[in-house]
Order: sequence, then structure tokens, then C-alpha cells
Amino acid sequence: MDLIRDVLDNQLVDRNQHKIGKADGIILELRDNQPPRLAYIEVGMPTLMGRLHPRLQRWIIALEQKWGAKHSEPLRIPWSKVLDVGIDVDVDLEGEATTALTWEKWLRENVISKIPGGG
Amino acid sequence: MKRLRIIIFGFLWLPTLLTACSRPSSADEVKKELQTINSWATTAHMVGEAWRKGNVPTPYAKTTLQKAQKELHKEADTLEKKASGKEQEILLKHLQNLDQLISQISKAVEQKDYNAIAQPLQELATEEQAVSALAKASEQP
Amino acid sequence: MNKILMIALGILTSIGGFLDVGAIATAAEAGSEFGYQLIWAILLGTICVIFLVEMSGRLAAASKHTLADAIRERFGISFYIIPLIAEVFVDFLVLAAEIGGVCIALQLVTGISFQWWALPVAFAIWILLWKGTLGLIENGISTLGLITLVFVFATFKLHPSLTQLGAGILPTLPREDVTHYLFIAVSILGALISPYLFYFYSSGAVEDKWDEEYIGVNRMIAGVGMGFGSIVSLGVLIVAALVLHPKGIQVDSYEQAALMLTETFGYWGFILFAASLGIACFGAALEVSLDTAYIVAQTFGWNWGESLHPKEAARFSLVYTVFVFLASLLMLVGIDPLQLTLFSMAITTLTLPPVILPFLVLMNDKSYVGEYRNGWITNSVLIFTIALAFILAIVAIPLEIIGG
Repeated sequence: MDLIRDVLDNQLVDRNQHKIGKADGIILELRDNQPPRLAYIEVGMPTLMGRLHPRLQRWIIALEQKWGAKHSEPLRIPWSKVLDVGIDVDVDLEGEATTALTWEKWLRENVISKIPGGG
Repeated sequence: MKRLRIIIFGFLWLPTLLTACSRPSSADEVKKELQTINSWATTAHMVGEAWRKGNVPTPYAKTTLQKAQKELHKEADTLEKKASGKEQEILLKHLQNLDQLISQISKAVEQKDYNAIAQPLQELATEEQAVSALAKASEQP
Repeated sequence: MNKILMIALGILTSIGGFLDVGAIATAAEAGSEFGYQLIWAILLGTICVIFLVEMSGRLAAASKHTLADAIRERFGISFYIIPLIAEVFVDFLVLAAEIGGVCIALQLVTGISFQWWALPVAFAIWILLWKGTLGLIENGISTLGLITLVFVFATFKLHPSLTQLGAGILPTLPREDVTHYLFIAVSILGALISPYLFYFYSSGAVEDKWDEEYIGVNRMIAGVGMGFGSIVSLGVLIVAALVLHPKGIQVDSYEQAALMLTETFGYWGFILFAASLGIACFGAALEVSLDTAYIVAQTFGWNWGESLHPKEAARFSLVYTVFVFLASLLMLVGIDPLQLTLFSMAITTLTLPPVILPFLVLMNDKSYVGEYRNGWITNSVLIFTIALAFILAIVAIPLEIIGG
């Protein structure tokens, strides 16, 4: 399995087949005398921006800390939670319980539901 | 890598060259003015005719006639700055006539006077033909 | 039976998206200023679009990925961020122009200035997106879009000479005003080959859950649907060529274009022009707004779907909401809709190369399209289109400056 092609930038779906973001980054674990192993999939805008430019990453982190979800760690999904790698990457998680959907939930409760027809 | 950069920049100069090389001559410019004048004069005529036949609503006719007048004023301003001499005088006279006629047509539309519009429309047609003839004449080398 | 319905509805869908403010404006200008000489530009654009739309659909059906999804996955964010930002920017301008088209149509009929219509139209667009389903939007707009056939009827009534029409099929340069001619040719191509159409089409296909069974249908939809829209565009050009060109009227504003059906159909001709413009632009506005929300949501992996309740796709819904109202501001402050239309068509050409290039890789990649890879004809047309896209991108801005 090609990590870059089959995992990185691919869509992640949770237990309920809900979209919870893309694999924005992969954390490898380096081991002595053995090939590196995929330890975590990382999800989050800072991770994504970090791949483009470090300054963008710092800017996004600053934004998030001022207005955002106030979680300092990006969502890390351990490889053990990955059920299947196909069209999407299926992970054994409850999306709503993770930080991946913090913004989605916040918008849903504080903005969308206040607009007629959205509640 | 360096060669690639040269090629890319080479292509970027091409449009600049195109831009520089295609500066229109003053004869071309006058030609363009004539075409624009003709276009808006004919538009005013067509709108007036259409309104008379009941083919277009009154608010639209009013707005479009106003727009035609505005555009013709712009042309007059441009002509005063650019052209000079006998040609310019003749054109400005035509533009004045057109302006007057369109004003008359606008008034007729505003007052819903379907009879009063016939005369200025006819005169407008004559003016258009004159301008059109001028445009064709300027095509001669 | 269901399949046949799907085909018919799918075909109607393509119409609503193909004919928009750009297609109408550029065709009217082309016909009024250069007669039949630019027919080839519409035909060329149509062929390119048919192939590209077919590929978008095939990609969606075979890989279950939308175009935006597939590009980010295959090429990574470092590549895709550029076409993404460019596309969002272009979508913004195009959306403003489409809203402008609807506002102008309303101005033509009521006499109330288009600026007053900006917010009401934006609201109408928003409420349909918010409460409607993709099916409702596709089918509603497509059915209403049939009104644009009036241009085809007018063409028949005006009896154009077939030999003269035929002359326009081959590209020729005019004796004068060459730069303006080329500018309009580029604008026509930019209006017809719009990236938002491919993104939208592939998103709709995934939302409608297309699978491999749809690959044959997709070809028909792409061909017949886009072909139909093309025929209407040609109708606009030919009518302008027959009615306005002989009088020397050069379409510099929508008010002038509005006259083109009055000689053939009288008062109804005027109304039908306004209705065609309004409906085509309204449909396009819906598609462009959705397109922006689609590509942003798909790039970042958010939940997306027009048929979903806004609650279920909060970020997706927020994107189109903000976008529609922001774009309408351009019309609210009174930017000239026709100028904006032509400008945004020229800018669109700049975004074409990075959007079309990925097709070359994706449509030949077994892991995405499986056995449904491009044949050599399709690949040849694709390579030609890519080359064309690069040429357009290079000459668009200079031509805008000197020939606009």
C-alpha cells in the first residue's frame, strides 16, 4: 500500500459513514533497523497549512487559538483504528466525539439552527 | 532550469509586444468613433420604433434612450479632444442633431405621445444615414 | 423506465448550466459585431466542453470521487491549493455576473434599476439552496430553461442563408478590428469552457450516486446536453447577426441585446429575451454557488451535499450562504454587469490549464477509472484542449487590455 497515494489526502469516514475530514498528514514512527511504520493519521487545518508553508501554519494556529476550538493538539488517529483503505479511509471512530467536527458542531448549534429552516 | 526560465519569460514578452505593436492609428480611432456613434444612434432609432409599435415597455425605452444620449455625449467629448478640423466640425454637428432628436423622442415616450414620435424618428433615420455614409467614406484608403 | 427518466432529466440538467450570462453576452456581441464569423468559436468550445464534461462524469461514476476530491488525493494539497484559490476567485466574479444577469432581466421588464434587485435575487438563490434538493434545482431550472429555445425559433423564422452560415464554421480573421475579434473569440471560449461546469457535474454525479452503469448514459448526457446548449448559443449569435449587425448596432450593453427578438416576435420577443436571460442566469448562479461550496468542502473533507439538510452539512451550507451575499454586493454597488461578465470570462481562461491538466493523469489512471480509461481519440482531444487552454491563458489579459 502506497501511503502517499492511498492514505494521504484521502477522505476519512467514521463508523457511521460520515465524512470527518481528510488525512492531512501522516506521522511515521521510525524504528531501529526496521522500515518506518505509519503511527498516526493527522487531521486538521494547521497540519494541512503546514504542508504548504510554516508561516501559514503559525497563522492558522493563532487564529484557532483566538476564535477556534481551543484545542492545541491536532486530531491524531492511530493506525490501529483504520478499518479499511479503499475509496475512502474508514476509521473506527465516532466522528462527533472527535475534534475533527468541532467547527461543524459549533456552526450547527450557534448559526445554522438560528436561521429559519436550518433548525 | 535557466533555459526554461528564459522560455517562460520569452512567452510573457509576447503579449507585451502584441500590445505595443497594435496601437491603432488615428484614422482607425475616428473610424471606431463613427461606428460607436452609428451604433447608438441606430439603437435609439430601433428603440423608438419598437416603442411606437408597442414592442417594448416605456421604462425600458426611457432608460435606453437616456443611455444612448449619454454614450453619444461621451463620443462628443472624445472627438473634441482627439480629432480636429473640418471632419471634427461636421461630426460634432451631427452629434448635436442626434442629441436633439433623441431628446425629442425621449419626451414623446415620456408623454406617451405616439404621434409626436414619428417626425423625430424619421429625421433620426436621415442623420444615421449621414453618419453611416461618413463611416463608409473613412474606409477609403 | 427509471433509467430513461434519468437520461431525460440529466440532459435537461446540462442545459441549465451550459447557457449562462457569459454564453449569451459573448454570443450577442459576436453576432452583432462580426456577423457569422465567430460561429467556429462556439463550435470549438462546445466540442471541448463535451469531452471534458464526459470525463468528469466518467471519473465520478468509475471512481466515486468528485473532480475536486480526486485532484487533491492524487496530486496533494500543494498542487491543488492553487487551482482551488483561483477557482474560488473566478467563481466569485462569475457568480456576481450571473446575479447581474438576473437583475438586468428584471430591470428590462420592470424598469427598476438592477442594483435594487441584487439583494432580493441573492435571497432567492439562497433560499432555494437552503431548502431545496439537488433534484428540485436541476429539474426546475432545466425545465424553465427550455424557454431559451426562443432563440432557435427566431433563427428559423429569420431564414439565414445556409451558405453564409457555413462560412462561419471555419475560422477566419476579419479585415479590421482583429484584436477585438480575437478578444471576443477568447471570451466565447472562456464562457463555454467553464471549470465550474466540470466540478459541478462530477459533484452532482456523486451526489446522485452514479456507478459504472451510468457510463454509457453519461456520454449521451454530455453530448446531447452540451450540444443543446450550444445550439441555443448559436441561435443567439445568428439572431444578433441577422437583426443587429445589418443595422450597425454593436452590443455594448444588455439594453441593446434585448432588442434582438422584438422584430420577430414583437412585445413577446422582448419579454422572452428577458425571461431567457433571467432564467439562464438564475440557474447558473445556483450552480456556481453550489460549485464553490462543493469544491471547498470536498477539498477539506467536510460533509457536503445539496440535498442534505443544512444541519447535516453546516460548513458546506455556510460557504454558499456567505458567497451568494458577498457576490451580490458587486451588483448592489452598481458595477456594470456586462463589463463584469466579459472580464470574468477572460479571467476564467487563466484558471483553465491547472484545472484541465489533471484530467490527463486521472483519466488514464487505472486506480481511478479502472477499465474506463481514455481512448486515444479522447486523449488527443484532451491534449489539444490543454494546449488551447494554455494559449488562451497567455493571450487573455493582453487582449482584454487592447481589444476589450
